[in-house]
Amino acid sequence: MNYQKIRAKVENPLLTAFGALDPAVPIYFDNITATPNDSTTEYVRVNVTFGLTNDPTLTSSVDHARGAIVIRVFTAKGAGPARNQTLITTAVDVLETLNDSNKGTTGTYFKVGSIEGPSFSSDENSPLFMGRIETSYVATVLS
Amino acid sequence: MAKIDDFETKIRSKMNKTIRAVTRNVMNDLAQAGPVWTGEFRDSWVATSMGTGGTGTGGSYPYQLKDIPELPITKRETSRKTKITISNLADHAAIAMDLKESEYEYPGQEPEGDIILRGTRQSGIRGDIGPKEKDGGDNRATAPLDWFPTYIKGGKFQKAISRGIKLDLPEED
Repeated sequence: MNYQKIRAKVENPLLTAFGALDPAVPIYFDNITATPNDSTTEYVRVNVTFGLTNDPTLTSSVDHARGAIVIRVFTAKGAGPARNQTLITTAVDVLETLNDSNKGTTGTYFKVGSIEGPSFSSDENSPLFMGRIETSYVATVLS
Repeated sequence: MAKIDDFETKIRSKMNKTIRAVTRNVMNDLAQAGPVWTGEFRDSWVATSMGTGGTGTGGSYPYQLKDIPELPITKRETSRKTKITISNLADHAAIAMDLKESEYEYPGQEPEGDIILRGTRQSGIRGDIGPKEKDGGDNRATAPLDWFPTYIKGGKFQKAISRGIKLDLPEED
């Protein structure tokens, strides 16, 4: 199973998009130690999860996976939702772009489902305001 | 004519039983996939009939068919699009499902469930625990971050539904 190829398909464009903002917004993925513990500056946290995966027996060259993508945007607290929504828009644009690609004979074919959210929350003890979107995905790695 | 009515009633009754079996399967799946520290969240899944508002016996994990409410078999009720809802009644359900942030304190006892994440907490989200940092906290989690959307969107929810239907339909009276 090509988990890395699937993960890269969504993580790379998100990294590029948030890196291209001025100023660039830090974005963190699974198992990255640099995620700021109790950070007071804005950042994005992306979680790509895997549900059912399978290796079809008819051919060894195709892998399928399904799962969820959850993107959390943390921005300044008490400053309104505008900045948070702006960053969420960046993430949504990337996810929607993923659906533009056509299925070829090689590479990774990736489609996301309907995007749910954003939902916003702010815990009284948390230093930042959180916006959250989530979607499903299906991926096929053709090699 | 009476025979047709009996047949329809039997079909509707069978359909309801299938729905209840699927609901039980999903509740057990959710209980297994979610976090278990004291077991309160795992044991707080409840099914509610949209037709009657009934919630069955409530129950706790592992959930049984008697924990799922009986559904009305009238034509009107069986044609209802959403027949049953599953919810979790624990006060901290949204936190357990990684939807809201919170503050965490060691409760003085180890979790009932297996620890699958241990390290430094990265945010107020329950499952957002990274590798242990120097002078970082020793936090634990018994379910991965975003276990709930992974279950719902990753195919296991759909599989539980089809499993319930496959189990029930071949039954003959």
